[in-house]
Amino acid sequence: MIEFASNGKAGDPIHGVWSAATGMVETPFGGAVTKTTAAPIGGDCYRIKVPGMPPVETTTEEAALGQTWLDHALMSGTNHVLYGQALGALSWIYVAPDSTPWRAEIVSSSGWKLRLTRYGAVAAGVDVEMYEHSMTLPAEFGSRANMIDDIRDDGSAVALVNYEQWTASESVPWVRVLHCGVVVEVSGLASEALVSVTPVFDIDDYWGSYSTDDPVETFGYHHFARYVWDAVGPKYRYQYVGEVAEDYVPSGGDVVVQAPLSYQGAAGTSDMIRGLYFDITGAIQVVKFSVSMAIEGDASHDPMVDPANSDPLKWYGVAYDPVWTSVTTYTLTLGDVDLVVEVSDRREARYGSIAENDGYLRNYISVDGVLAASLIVNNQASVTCWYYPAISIMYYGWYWPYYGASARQAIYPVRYGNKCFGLVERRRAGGDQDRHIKVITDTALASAETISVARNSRHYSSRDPDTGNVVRDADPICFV
Amino acid sequence: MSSKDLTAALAALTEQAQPVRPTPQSRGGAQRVVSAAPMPGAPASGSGTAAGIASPLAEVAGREYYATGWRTTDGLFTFPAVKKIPFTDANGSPVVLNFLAPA
Repeated sequence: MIEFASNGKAGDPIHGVWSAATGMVETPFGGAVTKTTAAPIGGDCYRIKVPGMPPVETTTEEAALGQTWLDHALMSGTNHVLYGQALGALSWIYVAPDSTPWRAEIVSSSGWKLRLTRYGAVAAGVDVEMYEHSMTLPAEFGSRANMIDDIRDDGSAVALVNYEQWTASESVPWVRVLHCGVVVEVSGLASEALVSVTPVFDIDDYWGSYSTDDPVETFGYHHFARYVWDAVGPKYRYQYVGEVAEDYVPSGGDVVVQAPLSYQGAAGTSDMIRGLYFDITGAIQVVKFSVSMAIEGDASHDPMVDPANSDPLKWYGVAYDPVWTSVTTYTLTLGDVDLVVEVSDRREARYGSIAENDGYLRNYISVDGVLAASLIVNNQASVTCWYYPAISIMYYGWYWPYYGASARQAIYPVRYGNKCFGLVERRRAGGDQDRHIKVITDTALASAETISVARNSRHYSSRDPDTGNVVRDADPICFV
Repeated sequence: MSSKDLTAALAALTEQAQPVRPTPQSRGGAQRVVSAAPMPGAPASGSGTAAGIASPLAEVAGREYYATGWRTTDGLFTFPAVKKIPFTDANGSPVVLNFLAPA
């Protein structure tokens, strides 16, 4: 809605943090005001800057009304809400070289087209200018769902991904399984715009790399299912390297995919693409989620597989003291910033019983490979590590290290917004418990315009497009 | 002193008691001009601006707008900003209104 001020200003002056719970906007001056707007979905937020617009001030009287007059606009949510209207998930604002704004929209009409419609030109009785330019997208974009992961500041490029939404388990917030990602670039005047499509990744790159050690030990399985598809519905297929299997999702239960023996090992690594974003220079960056596990120590006589300490041997006084430690490292890489979580388990077995488990979780942020901060969290005290301590199961994009039937843990990446990613730890022990991996310092990430936040899974967060600072503690929240 | 002398003396005193009236300063009032408008009933000269404007005015084709228009502070919305509107007055003479560009 356009508002007009008595001093000749016009525009949308209601800005701040919008809450779905209240439908109100918390303004920078304190207090909440009502804003008539379509509900933004998620925590995406974009600044739209038309060149040449002079700075604008907010008077004391206007601030008292909850107004903030800006020389730029804010577009919010994955549905791209601008001036209270949802442009749509595949629409954005392109500012042409002559500083005219255009609504850009990717449409499928006898092939893929980029439709440019003049935005904001108010003139009664005049046809709105509209142009269409053909473009070619990979075949994957013809099925499943498409969404824009990020938009370059001037609207000259968008990161477009094709994905499927997986909601098989009652305990899983929906997870994007990405199939393909491209950058769509626009240049020139609307009437003669040039559109180019540059592939960034496809399904073969979804798991960027995969490796596993030879299965010299069978006590611990490190499962790296390489790919899951047709995952929506009761039936799913999964693939290890070179092998395809098919199974049904158990009713109301989790899916446990066990790799064939030839792909089980004590250690291995895998990574996969979780999203795309433009960095502060406008270059495309890949969000990558990596998992690696290593075993140290003598694990050759694990009681689960080789019951060396079973009662008969114990009766004869034979004892083994296998002591080993597994370390599983989860890394979310956003450009030059890594969000790292290490889950470590140390196990000693004596006479058929598990002596102790001092697993812990450690997370830290590293920028340019330099450790910025670290934190030790002792959160494993209540976890009893009986069997399969080293098992890690790919679960539609996340990993469940198993600690027995009653307690297990998952680490999975989450997308809060276009420049807002993080890792979430989910523990299942008498009910799910989520703990978002809190970054140690926001400032270390601000320079890279990469922000993670700490809220539980029902919450979203966003960033202040002016300051780059993360905004927390609302339900859910989004800058409008 | 004769009566004639007395009268002359009084006259002289009277002239000295009355100061010279100062010349009024100009207050910048409107200058006197001569109207070029025709008297009612006189034939229209049709000679343009010098002839003045006769109501009513009727707009004629040729309205012009500023290319940038009047914009919202963020530059996204543009409203038409009139630059020039041509009229014809009751005498058929052209009259043009020119508007300032929006700030």
